[in-house]
Amino acid sequence: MSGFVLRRLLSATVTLLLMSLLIFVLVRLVGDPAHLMMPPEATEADRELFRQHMGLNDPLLTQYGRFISGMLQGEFGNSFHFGVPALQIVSDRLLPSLVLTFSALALAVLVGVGLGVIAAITRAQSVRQLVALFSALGQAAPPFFFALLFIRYFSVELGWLPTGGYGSWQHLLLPMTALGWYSAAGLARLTQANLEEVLASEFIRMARIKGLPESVVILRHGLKNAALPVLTFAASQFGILIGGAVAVEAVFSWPGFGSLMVEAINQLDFTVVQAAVVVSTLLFILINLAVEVLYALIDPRISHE
Amino acid sequence: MRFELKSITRLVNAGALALAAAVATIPAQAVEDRPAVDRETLVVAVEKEFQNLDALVTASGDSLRFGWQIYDTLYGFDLDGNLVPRLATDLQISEDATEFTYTLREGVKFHNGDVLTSADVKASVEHILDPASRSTRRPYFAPILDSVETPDEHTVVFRLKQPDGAFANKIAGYLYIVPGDYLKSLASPEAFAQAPVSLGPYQIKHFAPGGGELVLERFDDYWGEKPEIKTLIFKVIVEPVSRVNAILRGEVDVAVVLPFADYARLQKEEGLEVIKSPVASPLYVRVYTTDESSPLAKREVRQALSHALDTRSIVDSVLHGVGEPLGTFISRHYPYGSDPDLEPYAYDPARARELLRQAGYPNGFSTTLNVQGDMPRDLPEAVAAYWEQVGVKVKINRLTYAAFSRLNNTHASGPLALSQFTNAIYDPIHPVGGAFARDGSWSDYYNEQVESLLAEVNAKADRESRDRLFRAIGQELHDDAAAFFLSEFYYVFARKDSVKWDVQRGSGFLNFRNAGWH
Repeated sequence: MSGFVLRRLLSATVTLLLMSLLIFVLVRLVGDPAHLMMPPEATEADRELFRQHMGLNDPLLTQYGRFISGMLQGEFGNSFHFGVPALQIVSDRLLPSLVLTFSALALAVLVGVGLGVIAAITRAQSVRQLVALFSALGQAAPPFFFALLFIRYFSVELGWLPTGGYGSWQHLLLPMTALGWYSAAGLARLTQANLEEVLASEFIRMARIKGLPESVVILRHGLKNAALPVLTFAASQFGILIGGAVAVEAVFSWPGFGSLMVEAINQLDFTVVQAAVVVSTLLFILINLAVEVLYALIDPRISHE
Repeated sequence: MRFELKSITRLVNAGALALAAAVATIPAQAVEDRPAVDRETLVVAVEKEFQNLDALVTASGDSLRFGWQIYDTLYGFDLDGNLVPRLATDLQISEDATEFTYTLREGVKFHNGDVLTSADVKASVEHILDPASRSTRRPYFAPILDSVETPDEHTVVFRLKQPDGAFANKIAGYLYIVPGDYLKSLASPEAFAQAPVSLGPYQIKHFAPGGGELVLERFDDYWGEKPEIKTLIFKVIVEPVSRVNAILRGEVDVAVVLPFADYARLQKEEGLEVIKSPVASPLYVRVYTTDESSPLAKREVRQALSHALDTRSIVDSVLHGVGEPLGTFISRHYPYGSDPDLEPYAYDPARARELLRQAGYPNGFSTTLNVQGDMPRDLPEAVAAYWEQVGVKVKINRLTYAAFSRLNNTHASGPLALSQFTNAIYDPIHPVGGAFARDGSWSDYYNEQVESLLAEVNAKADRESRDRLFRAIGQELHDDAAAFFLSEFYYVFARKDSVKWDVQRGSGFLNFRNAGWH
């Protein structure tokens, strides 16, 4: 296992380097920050002075070298707009983002898998239809739509929860539900379909014939065998959730990563974009690694050697 | 002064979102009219992050929002934009408008306890001029400033290389005063932004860049009238709909820059006061008139296209009534220089067709309108639709904010560009000089008469002359149809009924010095 982790870390370094090159080039293709930073009445000479001071006139290779050597020391330069270290701005946003994403994912797994199991084992048509409705709604409507609806009813009308902001569980409840519903819907369907398939198989019939209690049959034999695709799906949701969070973060004024990235790209704040992309790439690499390790734990047949 | 298109778009687009969310009709309901925190605290929802608290460095669109709270200026503006003494008690302007002498108030204290002297004023100017500061103010001062002299502790003399009748307004709008000794003690000019010190009524209590909140606390040694509010909290709520919801629920006491689409609805809310505040910077279509091969170089064509626009309908429908058609580029909300009787071009498609025929375009022509991608979709489409009715085909070219700025700043956004600016100095020279002087940064217009009037106005610092000359310029820009003037631009604010707050009119400045609770 440790050899596997090492190999993965090595390839992760390559991924990170490629990503850094990609973002370095892309962000410079988008535009010239001198036009956004300087007022419209600035002359070309003013803008040139600005570029010089930002090091934007140096040869690209020099700039890239500076970026990489800085990155290795955890130094991304100052944000063009905020005038403070870019990494500080990004890391300030990291915790709120992780809180939102992981709680949305946890909610999705809990509700999604729970409903999927119920729908798979129940004989009541109405329950199955309700779960189907839950899934259809979740997959059909974008998270920001739920976000706006939730605020309208739960905050403005009923006054139960704050309309936005960050800091307490009350602030988290609505954004996490709005964001997690989509993934919960997918998980419910997948769990139901997989579990139904597994439950119809020979070895389950065998387990029942052996006289094992139904809970053991469903949880130990059924769900465990249906878990792999569900886990893969859940892990893949992580990226979708981070991306999907942009709109939810905006509606709830959640100080997350997504809205920062969008704003930094709009403002051509190169250093913040670079720092944000590197940090999020690292995050994805770590999550993928964790998922692969989990695979091996759940299903010993998967060997990483 | 910088483009504010992004906010406009968000405002108008937000209307659509709000509609989508309001699946059921929501009855008007009373907003709970009590402080979000307490009577010593005011919570204000603002539309974007504060970028850089060094008000001498950051874009004026940024410092407009916090500058008057944390900083102060030699002269300032009253609520209507008239110059009033602040850190200085007197201003003498030489006859030829090249020498501006300020007498400083005595005993004024900075947040760090230093006492204001003329050396601080000089240091503040030098902070702007130092290229290492990367100040966005540098382009306003570097080209015209010859020297800053400090004959004694309380006298500052600005000498200019050429006459500038609006220089006192620039000083009031752009030159925030910071302590010289403190600046010198910093490792780099950039470090000032991390811990800014000035002498305004508030000092910074808490700020994390990009952190969504700026908390200010009253400065008890402030030289002027002590504000009633002790703690001023700015909460960044980027999404317009969310700002509306936050004030509806009473989580904030004031919300600024609200969606136009919500203006009428919010007016019906009990417990809320909705304010339409003019920014004195028109929404207009910039025209590249100096390209002789373009039909738009002809005055009749521009007049025709002016007659072809029903700006009243555009204001009522696209801008949800939050606007006002105007006859020229000089807003009615300047303290001087505009002629309130100057009417917009009347909507008259028949006359428009006739003028086009006279100009040699009986069958119209095709042209391109460049639009920053965030502008409300219906605005350029409405303009294009009216022009198509008189035979002029318009291709709408949407660009990102960054791409549009680059083209618009380098004379490459022609033949037509939908534009809007904010006003930060309360003198029409800024937008007019920029947009219609021969060498203006975003001007591709040349008119001999305007040119000579501008030369005259630059040499006159007295208000009566500037008023008369700008009225004449406004009239000529109207007669020449120098651009297509769509609407006055307003911000929509809301405050709880019990909040006492007189808004600053005719600019983008946020002024909370006078706020309190009833």
